[in-house]
Amino acid sequence: MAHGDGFPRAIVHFDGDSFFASVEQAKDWRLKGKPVVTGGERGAVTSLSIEAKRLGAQRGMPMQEIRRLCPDVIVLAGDYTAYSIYARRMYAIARTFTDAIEEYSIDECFADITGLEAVHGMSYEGIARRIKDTLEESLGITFGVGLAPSKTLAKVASKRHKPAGFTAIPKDRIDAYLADTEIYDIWGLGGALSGRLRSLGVYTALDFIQKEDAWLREHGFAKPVRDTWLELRGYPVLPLGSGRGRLPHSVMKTRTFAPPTSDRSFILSQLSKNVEAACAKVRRSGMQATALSFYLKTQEFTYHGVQLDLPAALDTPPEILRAISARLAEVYAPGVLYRATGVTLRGLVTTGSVTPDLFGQYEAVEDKRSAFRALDQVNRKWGRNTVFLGSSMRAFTTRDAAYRKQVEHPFLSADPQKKRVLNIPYLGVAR
Amino acid sequence: MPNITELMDLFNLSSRSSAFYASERLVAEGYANKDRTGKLVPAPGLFSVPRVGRIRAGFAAPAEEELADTISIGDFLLDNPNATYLLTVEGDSMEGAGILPGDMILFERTHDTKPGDIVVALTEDGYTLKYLRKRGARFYLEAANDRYPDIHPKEGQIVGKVTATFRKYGAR
Repeated sequence: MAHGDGFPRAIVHFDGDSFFASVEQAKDWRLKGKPVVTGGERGAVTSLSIEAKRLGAQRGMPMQEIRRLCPDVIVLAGDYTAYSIYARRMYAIARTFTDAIEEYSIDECFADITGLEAVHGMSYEGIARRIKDTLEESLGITFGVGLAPSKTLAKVASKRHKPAGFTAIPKDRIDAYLADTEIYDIWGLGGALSGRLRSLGVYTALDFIQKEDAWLREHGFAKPVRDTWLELRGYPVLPLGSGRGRLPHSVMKTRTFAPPTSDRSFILSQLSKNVEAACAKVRRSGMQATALSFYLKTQEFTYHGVQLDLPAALDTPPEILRAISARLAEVYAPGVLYRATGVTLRGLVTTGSVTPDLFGQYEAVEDKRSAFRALDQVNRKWGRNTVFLGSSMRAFTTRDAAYRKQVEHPFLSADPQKKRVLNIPYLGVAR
Repeated sequence: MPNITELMDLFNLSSRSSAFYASERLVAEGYANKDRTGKLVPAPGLFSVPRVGRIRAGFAAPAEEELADTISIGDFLLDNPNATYLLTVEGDSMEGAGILPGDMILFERTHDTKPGDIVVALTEDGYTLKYLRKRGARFYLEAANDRYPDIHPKEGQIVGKVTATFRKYGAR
């Protein structure tokens, strides 16, 4: 197993090709080989199938443009239940090979297979390819897979050949691979950072790793950039955030709606739905928020946001909504068309660590919290959004509800209200 | 009982001393004894693996271990839950195999199919359920109903094999 030499650590990155669109094609055989895009319910594309990409469609294009490029395109509403079931299967399959898995996002995960050559009786490349084959065979979806000594390099590798590619970057081949990797394609160096690096003459990832430590210091690049620099040089410094138990630092809930609107009460209702969902997630992690930010996104894709501190650590929507509506005027302008809202709960603290305040609000807050604990139980038993705030009502009765009806029972509903579904994908009929 | 070389094989050990250590453990745990020549011979412990909650005639009190450790019918039916999918049966082509219209089938996505398996193939007309058969070097799909012709699947059309079927009676 001579391969071991090139990999002081062996990190594998798995990236589902066109994940949402691929899940749709896996669920419904009639979509195979056809251009499919998801995100119809928001009027913004969230994923494109290979066939749609081949016709020139890209993420970020308006739907009309995509329809012009591919007249036969099939536009679907996102089925997030299905995507998360496929994602959980991806993590579970990778976990049968190593317990060091980071569930990085709904369509990506990292695996650390260092030292497992003898256990599996294969080289690192053999193990990584075996996991890839098992994923593709079990899920009916292809994956881009990269093997390298660090997470950042593994991400470079998995992007290398699309779709269904496999690339290994051993330590002694790093330079060759980074020579033709643009600096803005590096994980962690997007946006303004890559702009700055380019203005300093760093165009490729190879240019970057050839700089000395002193150069980084001289130009004021601090830890996160230096970590990336080390990772690209083949020194693993970013730990695998394995384990699902990690507590979140913040919780964000956003919603794009179509068509765009300037209706203030509708926008407040969307914010209310965001807050409800974020609070439910915060409660589930046993945390409370001490600060938040919210934003409105206009039809022209400009963002208008407000940050504020909360009067106490909270995990229930009413006070939070009061704080938001008090400051909505700072971002909302009548007559402007908005297409999305978002709420981020920040400064999360664990529930036990909050000191009851001196001025008697504690009991009132506790009362409210027990009401929402009951609400959580009802929604757990009868399905999500069985009970929700009146202020969120309008957000629940919009076009995307109509869109969702198009999804043909992709899973079997299984509880008394038929709101919850089986965890096994239902693929239709067989003759 | 195995000798040292056989123990090396059994436990996948590369050194004789590790295998020797393993044999000492078997003795220490009461599963084996050593005879005068050092050969392993069975000890009483080997034959007294505890059985919990064995049911005799009448009633038996199951042991606590069993009460605490149950699996769902889903776990029982799914050997490989991460690769398992559901289909409903339409038509009577598998009647002879006891698979009737309206039945639910669970199938595992896999390349590992062999003649005799009931396989799931994806054709131009959708999923089909048939026995996988082999004549000479050629594979074909056979219905469990004489009224259906054999199908010769193309490369890659067989997507998996049926692992369970079920039927739900009464109101949904």
